[in-house]
Amino acid sequence: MTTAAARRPPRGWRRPYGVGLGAGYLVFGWGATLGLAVLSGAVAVVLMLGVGAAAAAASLVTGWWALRTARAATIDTAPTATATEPSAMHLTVTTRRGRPMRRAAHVRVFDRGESIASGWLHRGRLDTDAVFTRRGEVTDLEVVVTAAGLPGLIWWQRTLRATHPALLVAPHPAGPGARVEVLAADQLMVDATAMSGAMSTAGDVDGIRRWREGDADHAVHWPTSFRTGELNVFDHQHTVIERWVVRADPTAADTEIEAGRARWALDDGRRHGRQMWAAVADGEAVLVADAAAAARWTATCQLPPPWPTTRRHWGNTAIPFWREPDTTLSTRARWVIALVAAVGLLMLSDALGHSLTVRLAITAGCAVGAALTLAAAVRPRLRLVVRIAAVAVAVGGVLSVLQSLGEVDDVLSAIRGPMPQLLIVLIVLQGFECHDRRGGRVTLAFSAVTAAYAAALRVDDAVVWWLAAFALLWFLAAVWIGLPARRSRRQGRPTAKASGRRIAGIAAAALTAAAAAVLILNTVEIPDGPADLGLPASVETIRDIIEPGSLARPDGTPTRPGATGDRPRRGGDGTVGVGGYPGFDESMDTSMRGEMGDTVVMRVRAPEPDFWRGQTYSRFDGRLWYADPQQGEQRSPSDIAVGPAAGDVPEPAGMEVDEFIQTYYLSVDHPNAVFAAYRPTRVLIESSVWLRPDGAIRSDRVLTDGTVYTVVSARARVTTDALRRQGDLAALMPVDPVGMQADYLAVPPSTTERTRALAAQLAAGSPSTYDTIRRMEAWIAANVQYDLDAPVPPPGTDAVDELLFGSQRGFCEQIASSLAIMLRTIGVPTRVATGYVPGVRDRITGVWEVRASDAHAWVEVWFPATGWQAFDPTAGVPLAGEFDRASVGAEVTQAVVDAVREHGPTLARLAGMVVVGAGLTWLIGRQVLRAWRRRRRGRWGVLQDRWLGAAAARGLDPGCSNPELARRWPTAAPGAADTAAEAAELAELLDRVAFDPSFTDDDAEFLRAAALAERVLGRR
Amino acid sequence: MALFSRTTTPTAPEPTAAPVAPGGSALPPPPAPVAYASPITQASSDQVARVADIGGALVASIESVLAGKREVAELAVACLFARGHLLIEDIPGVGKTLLAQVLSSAVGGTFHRIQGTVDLLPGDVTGTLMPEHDGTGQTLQMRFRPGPVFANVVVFDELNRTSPRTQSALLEAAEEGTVTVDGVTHRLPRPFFLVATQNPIDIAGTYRLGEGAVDRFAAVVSPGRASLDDEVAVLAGRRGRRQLRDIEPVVSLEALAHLQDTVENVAVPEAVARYVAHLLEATRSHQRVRLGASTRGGLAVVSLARARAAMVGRSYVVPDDVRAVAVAGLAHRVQVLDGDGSTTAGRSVVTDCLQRVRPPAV
Repeated sequence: MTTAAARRPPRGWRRPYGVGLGAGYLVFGWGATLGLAVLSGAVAVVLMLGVGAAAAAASLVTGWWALRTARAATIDTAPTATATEPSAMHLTVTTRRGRPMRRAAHVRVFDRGESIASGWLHRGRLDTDAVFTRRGEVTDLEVVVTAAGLPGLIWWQRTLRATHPALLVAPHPAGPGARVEVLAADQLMVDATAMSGAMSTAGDVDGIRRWREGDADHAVHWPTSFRTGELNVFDHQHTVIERWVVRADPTAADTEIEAGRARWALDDGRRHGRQMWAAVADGEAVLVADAAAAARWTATCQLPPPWPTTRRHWGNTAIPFWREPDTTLSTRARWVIALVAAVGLLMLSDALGHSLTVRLAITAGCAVGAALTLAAAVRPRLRLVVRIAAVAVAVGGVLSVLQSLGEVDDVLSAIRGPMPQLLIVLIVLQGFECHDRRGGRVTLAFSAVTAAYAAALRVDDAVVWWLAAFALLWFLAAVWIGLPARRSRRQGRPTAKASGRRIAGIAAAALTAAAAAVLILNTVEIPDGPADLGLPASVETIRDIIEPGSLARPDGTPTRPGATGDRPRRGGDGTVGVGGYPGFDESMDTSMRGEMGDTVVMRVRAPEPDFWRGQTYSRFDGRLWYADPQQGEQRSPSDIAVGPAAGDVPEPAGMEVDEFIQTYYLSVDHPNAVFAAYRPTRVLIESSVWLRPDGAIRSDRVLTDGTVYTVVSARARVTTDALRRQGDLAALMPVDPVGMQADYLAVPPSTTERTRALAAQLAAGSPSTYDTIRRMEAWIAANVQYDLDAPVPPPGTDAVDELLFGSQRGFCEQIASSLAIMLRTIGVPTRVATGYVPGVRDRITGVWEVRASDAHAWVEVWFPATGWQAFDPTAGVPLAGEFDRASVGAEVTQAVVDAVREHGPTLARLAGMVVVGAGLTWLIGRQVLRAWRRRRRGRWGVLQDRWLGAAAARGLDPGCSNPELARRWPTAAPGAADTAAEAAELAELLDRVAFDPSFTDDDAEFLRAAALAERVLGRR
Repeated sequence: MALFSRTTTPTAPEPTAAPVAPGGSALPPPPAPVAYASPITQASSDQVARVADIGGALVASIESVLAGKREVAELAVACLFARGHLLIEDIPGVGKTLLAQVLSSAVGGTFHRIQGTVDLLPGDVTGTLMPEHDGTGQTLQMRFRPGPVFANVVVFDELNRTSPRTQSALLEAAEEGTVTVDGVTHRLPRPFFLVATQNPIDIAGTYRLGEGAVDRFAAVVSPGRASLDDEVAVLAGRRGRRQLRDIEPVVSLEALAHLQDTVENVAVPEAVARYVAHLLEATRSHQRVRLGASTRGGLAVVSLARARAAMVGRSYVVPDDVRAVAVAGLAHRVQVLDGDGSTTAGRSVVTDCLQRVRPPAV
């Protein structure tokens, strides 16, 4: 055996080797998810995109990092080998400190550019058969170490050089064909010393041996042949009957084969008792004494190389760049991939509201696919079963898709109908084909698309948990895909220390990836909605209303102006939720609030907050507000352009206008008011609508639970300055207003003098109307108490007067009315709008969650330059121009911060409990594990395991016997001589326990051993 | 017919019937049968300590003559204690014969050396019937003249150079401890220790030892060249043949037989036996091997391991013993696909198997 360590080998650069097989599908999946993000504008999908990008980055970095320790390669082979025949090779890849490299890595060994051996390193070692492709003297071998990053997407490689002093690769004997010269002894001019030994015994008969092909007839020894019944011949060991010179032809077309022919000829001649000589062409001949010499000569003879030596470089390699070293998928990776697929599909299935049967079928399909592919990998006969099962799944899937096809009438229903079904069937089917790494990555990619699909469709809070579970499993699957299948226990068990380090590494990588994802997402703005493609929009159930065009209650019955006068003042018409809010009525009674409850009435996917306006009121009679009775014009679905309504300014001078897309997901039955942020320009809804002159939009049918519609609004970037610069609006108004201005300046006769006086007082000396409004708001905030249980104003009194000077308690409708009327008295056009405040943002799904109690009324003031502007004395108004859209990453960070702020103590308590619990579990588990081990292995067995574990941690091969380990125990530490002696003593003791039949266990002995172990192995 | 009337030596192992060595001196009588404990009785620590003492003395004797060959010396002594025979495979001039001579001197036995040549006949080794005048001078009697194999320590140089016939005659003698000439069995002196050598380099013109033949050797060692310092010691006369005459017998032949019995009683735990069986199995399934080691090979390994255990003063075998002797005990028994008749390839295969099979422990 020849061992060759590289003499200070070049370190070799780490460079990318290629992407894992199937990574293209992951790129495709990322692209598809990007499409979904654009389609839906869901923040969750953008989150997935960010995590995916971070995983790719982590894969890139960790692969590079994994190879940092590979420094030197040592190769151990027999001194000679034959080309194209396997010969044993032991390869060790060591770190800078000379320890075996621990990281899972794949190696390929190259001899002059040809791959001769490959395999996975196990504890830095590879025992395999090398097949040299060409003859010659091998002085150095290229060892290419390849490792994937944690998510096994991208592979890195590092080239190490192992020099080898004396490996000769002889050609494969290539059969007859070499030129052979037969010479008599005197014809050959040779060195006398080389000949002397052979000459002395020439002609002697050395014995009898069996007949071999090629023996001459006259050599047969008949007496023995008759006696034994087999042909025997005289064996002329040193008989030089002929001397043969094999002349290798350097001009042969393939000199490799020519050398092989020469070797064959040399072996053949020697077998037949000839004295063999070898020469290149007509050069000087050398004596070839035996088989080894023939191998040596043919390995080193000077023949021109058979073809120009090619150097491997990027692009010129025989292995395509996307090829990864080994495509076997380990069992655990296959199962976790099945789990990922199942979770993704169940997420989608949950979003689509599938039945339990469908969900069970999906889970079973994934599990059966995994089990069958794993079994078929071992037993190829099962492939037929796999195919039959796949066909069955395909048939079932197609039937279910066909069944849902009947319900499809357009693209929109297809999105929720057969398309996801088709996706589900395809992924379950793919599970039956997923048996290698490529298949695994395909499944991961498609599962990510399903999860994104589900995240895009869903707006509920559960999405975050689904996504967290999915991401965790996905990451695990991606890690395991890049690792080799685990070796059998007999070949070495991983020590606890090593696996602990590995887990720590994975955790660190996951944390880094998460941080990177947040960083990446910090640069990504919250996406706009799906308006460009007009998706999604649907009206779940059709419930027509009795009087088309007029405002209807959720049950379809019309609301009549003024009909609420005799109703109870509290609780509206008795229905809780949307129906109970008087603001969604043709008229609004300011003395009523209604019982709103706390149910989520709708979710609005929008990048920024705004007031979701449903209705405006322009005429006030002292107690009731009335909407403009004109119905406006009717438009048919589904993409409806909305022009400017009364008072709207489509293009404010010197101001940017943003497109603001909102998608409304109604979760309770609503009236037929279509909510929109000011100022709507497009409505995507599956019903015809009335565009009313006051800017409100009404559907021709009740918008029931499950309805989805999208509104595109044009939002001018209004800022405080822009409003303030417009100065005193009253001064701009004509003295005698007509038309629209008259409507919005009308003051009811019941308005009291003290109201007017207060308004005038607050407006006096104010530089602009904006400041006047601010003053009025401040006065109201200081003097009026917000109170949902405010007393009902006595009949006949003016509601505004009662609020400002009477009870001085009230709610938003009353406060908004007061502000509107006060402004009208000083000549500023106003109206009251009702709808919802933005609600609470779910930062992971990027959806505003609007509850019934978020129903609100506010004031809209008309500014000539910018149009209607909302003001609210009780809630802050989000100004488009003063609101910077957050990035997705900031949203996630904010979500975490909010969660901590809101549930801080609870979380801390929970974390404390988890830590304490984990600590206790760890302590108890360790004790239980120790007890179990002691029970299973005995106390001496536990000691033996510790001994082996410590040996493995010191880089020793645990396949050695105890005394061997003791002899090799590292002695670099101070006081090592003692340690070595004590290690030997401990090893002997352990062996005595194991093998001495006369040994009886005794406590004193064990205590001695334990004390020794503590000194030698260190504390545990 | 009368001319060739035969006298035969009795087959019973009486001391008086001992044949006469060619040198003329009477062979020491074979030892009386020793009443040793039944094999299942474990050797006592006193007995084992005696093996360790004498083994150490023997090794020291060899070392005093042969420089820097401790491992080989230990294996040779282990082989002697295990009642096995030793095959030394090395180039000429590294002290193969000297090793055997030291051993024979140190055990106080007789020593014969046979040089293997192509024309050596079985009779030249075992001895032949020679016509001899009886006392009356009237008739010729056929009398058995023992060959050189009748000695306590026999060195057979270049075993592979002699014909297979002679090889098998010798090996039969070695295996059975008896020589059969013309139908009459003669017992070889006890203890009997055969040391054969073969030259791995000059394979041409030799008869390769058959699988059956090599299987009869308990161990094969390859001492290799001495280091520079040791070589200087030899050249300066501090070590070597000159020291041979200073070797005192450290053990009598009878005591040696007792020691061999003790070694036989060293306990082999079940786990260790299983380990040896796994090793044998590994050699059989190794990809480079045409024919793996036989069960006899396993037996040889176990007895060598016993001897080694006893020599370090242990009355039981541990896996380390097996690992120490496995290469010597198995290398010549595995037939490697690309082997060239030497045991180099076999050594690498057995080393490989030792790495693959995990030794048992507590």
